[in-house]
Amino acid sequence: MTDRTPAEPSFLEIRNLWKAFGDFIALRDINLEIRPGEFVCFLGPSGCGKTTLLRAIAGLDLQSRGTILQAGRDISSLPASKRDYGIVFQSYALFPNLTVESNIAFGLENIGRPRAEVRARVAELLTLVGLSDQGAKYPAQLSGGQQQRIALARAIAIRPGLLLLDEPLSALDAKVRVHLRHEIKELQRKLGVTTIMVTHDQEEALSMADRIVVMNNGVIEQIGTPIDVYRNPATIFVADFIGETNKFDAILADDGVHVAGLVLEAAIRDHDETAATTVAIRPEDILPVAADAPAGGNRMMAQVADMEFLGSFWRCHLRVGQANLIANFSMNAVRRFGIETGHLQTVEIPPERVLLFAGSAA
Amino acid sequence: MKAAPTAIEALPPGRELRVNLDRDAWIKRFFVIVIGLYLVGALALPLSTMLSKSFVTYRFDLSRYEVIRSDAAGTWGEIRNLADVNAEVGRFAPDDLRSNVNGRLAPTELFADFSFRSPERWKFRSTDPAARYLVGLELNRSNDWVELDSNTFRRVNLRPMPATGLENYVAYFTNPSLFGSIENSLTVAFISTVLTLVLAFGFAYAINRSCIPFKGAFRLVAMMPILVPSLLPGIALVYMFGTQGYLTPLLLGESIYGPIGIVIGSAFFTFPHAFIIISTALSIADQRQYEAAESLRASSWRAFWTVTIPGARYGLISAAFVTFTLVITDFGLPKVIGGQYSVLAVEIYKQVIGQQNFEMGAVVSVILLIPAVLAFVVDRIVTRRQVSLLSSRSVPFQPRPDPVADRFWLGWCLVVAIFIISIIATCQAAALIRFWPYDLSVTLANYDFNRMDGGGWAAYWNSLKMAGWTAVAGTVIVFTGAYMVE
Repeated sequence: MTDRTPAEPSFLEIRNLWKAFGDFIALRDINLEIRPGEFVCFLGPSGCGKTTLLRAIAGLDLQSRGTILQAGRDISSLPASKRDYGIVFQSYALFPNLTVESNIAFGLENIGRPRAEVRARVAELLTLVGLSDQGAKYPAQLSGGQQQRIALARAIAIRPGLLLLDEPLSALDAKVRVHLRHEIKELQRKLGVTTIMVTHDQEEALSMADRIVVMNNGVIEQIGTPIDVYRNPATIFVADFIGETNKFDAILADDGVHVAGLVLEAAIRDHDETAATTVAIRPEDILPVAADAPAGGNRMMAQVADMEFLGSFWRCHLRVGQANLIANFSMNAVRRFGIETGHLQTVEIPPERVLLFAGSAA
Repeated sequence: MKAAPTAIEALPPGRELRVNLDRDAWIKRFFVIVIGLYLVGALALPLSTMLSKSFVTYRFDLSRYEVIRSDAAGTWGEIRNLADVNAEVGRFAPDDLRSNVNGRLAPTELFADFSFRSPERWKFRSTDPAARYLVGLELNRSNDWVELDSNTFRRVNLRPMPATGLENYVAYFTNPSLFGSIENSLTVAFISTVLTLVLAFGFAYAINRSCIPFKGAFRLVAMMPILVPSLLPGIALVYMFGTQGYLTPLLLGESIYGPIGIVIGSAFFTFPHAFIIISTALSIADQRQYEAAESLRASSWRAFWTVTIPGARYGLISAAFVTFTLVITDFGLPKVIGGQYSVLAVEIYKQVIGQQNFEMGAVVSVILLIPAVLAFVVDRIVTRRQVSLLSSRSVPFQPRPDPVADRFWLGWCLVVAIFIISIIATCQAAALIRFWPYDLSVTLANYDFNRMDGGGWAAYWNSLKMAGWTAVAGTVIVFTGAYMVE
């Protein structure tokens, strides 16, 4: 699952980490290695333990069991103030009674930097986040996006080895979010600081991360690059959580995968054929083709039951036999094939895009 | 096509639209007017009366009276103005002619040789309708000459004339004993405020930000003083630290009667007020801000001054003004325990009840009003400047156990709780004891109010009745007001 290169030493290493809140096990046996300079996203639904894991790394909530190594140093039981990281919270947590400048200078003053150096560093950071003319203002006078940039500047002021971002963008509105997403990524690349970001927004994780750690119910479901996680989900949970997917209970047989009256050809993985199997098909992997095109794999006739216009593409509800499928057809394809409600359309599903998972679809 | 832009955007002519008033709106207006009238009657009128009263001065104007004296044979002399007579004999200095609304001055004092048995006769008149005089108990309203014999002239009394001016204030500020009470009041109020704030802040901090046990019980104890009158700690302190007190040696020879007693007692009765305000301010905090401070390597001391104090700043200011105003305007406690230490609130009592000097009482009241008005203004400014410290994304602060700190805060709360309980317990014990400290046997005789001065149980029921009506009326008025404002 991990595409780790042994030659590169890991910057942060988490070994057999457990966390319990009373009877509730929030994290079970987490193992994770993060390379220097990497941008890693913890992605998962709320309550999956991703924030708990981040807070354990930050030392804000100690783990119940397990070891955390940062740059070769065991930080498992160090207090937060003795660890080497900067953190940005969802709520920014700027000090409302301090000006923007004093907020950024706060950490530098704590580690006893001379005043001239602090002033220079604050000016540098304000320029870096593009708010050099806002230094004398108070946080309440800034917009949410500006406050988050200040929080970011404050977190990286003392040049920490690790930057932790706890859902930093979820309090912002959509436009600002997309813009800041790009900015944070740029900044991270420029500084080369190892970064962990917690998010429940898959789009955010896919667009920003070098690697994504998908979590559910206190365990890691998959670790991989965004493309890897999207194209080759390790579990049905990952397939379902990231992107959209058509899910069906399936039976494996010699002539193919039996799904709701259809028989599909699939690049079958080594599954136990007697166990329950689920098949997953991404909406964009259902391709409309001309009826007279040379046959590819899994060609079938589909009736368009309903269509939703979503801007750059149409979401089409298809009926194939007894199966209901959701397919995303591009504007071009819809125009070319004259697809409309009630239309009969030939579609193909490439066999390598028919994903099989152990377990039932429910 | 878009319309060509005009230089000035203007609305087409017509009336501004308004929502038609429905029945609710009319009822609302009616209540607003009723409440407005009530506020005028209950607040504006008394305050303005007091203010105007404080500027009214009374003095005897001798130049408005004329007198003619006859000799024993009945031959009338010349008309003499009383001011001239005074100038001649030098009986009254200008300051002696200052008076108050009830002032009386007998003109016979100007005549050293006056005898009521003398056969001389007198003609007397006022030259100004505003200058009045009494003959016996009868107020003379005319400006005509009145002929009187000596025995009747003896019963003539001049009335002072009212005027508007700052004289009362001048008199107040030039009277060292009165003026000294300002300094005393300020000193006591300042020290009490600092003491109460420190105690209440520690207490509220312990309850909101630490993991000590018995928080509910401590909260209850902290609220107890709000149920008793401010003079109760005075009485208790007499039992504890008075000349026959059981803890008197602790004072190391200092007397409880004076500033020490007032400060200790004030800290007792203002504690709940300060505690509630500060506790409210400390009850909300953003956990994330503490975590941000910690991740930025801040010491807990610096986090305290960067996050805790600014977060509670407005509560502290508000509590300080409330405490200050309570202490400086309280009169029960300094009356009981103040001894010879004169403070403003007691001074009003002395002036109004003791000397019937309403004008001077009004002056002291106006001076006492200053801290209250100041507190109000500061509170307004502070509230306007207050920005919300919490956003919807903030995470409420959750205290974590810290053995050392928790033990410290538990100790703090215990000390304060023992202080409050011992004051109340002392009073209760004293009530049950026959004659402190000579006969320590326990009795319920002291509860037989009918044996005592001051109306006995009837007074008790009167108090209850009055408090009940005030509670009902106050709640109705405040609730209606709040509803209408909404």
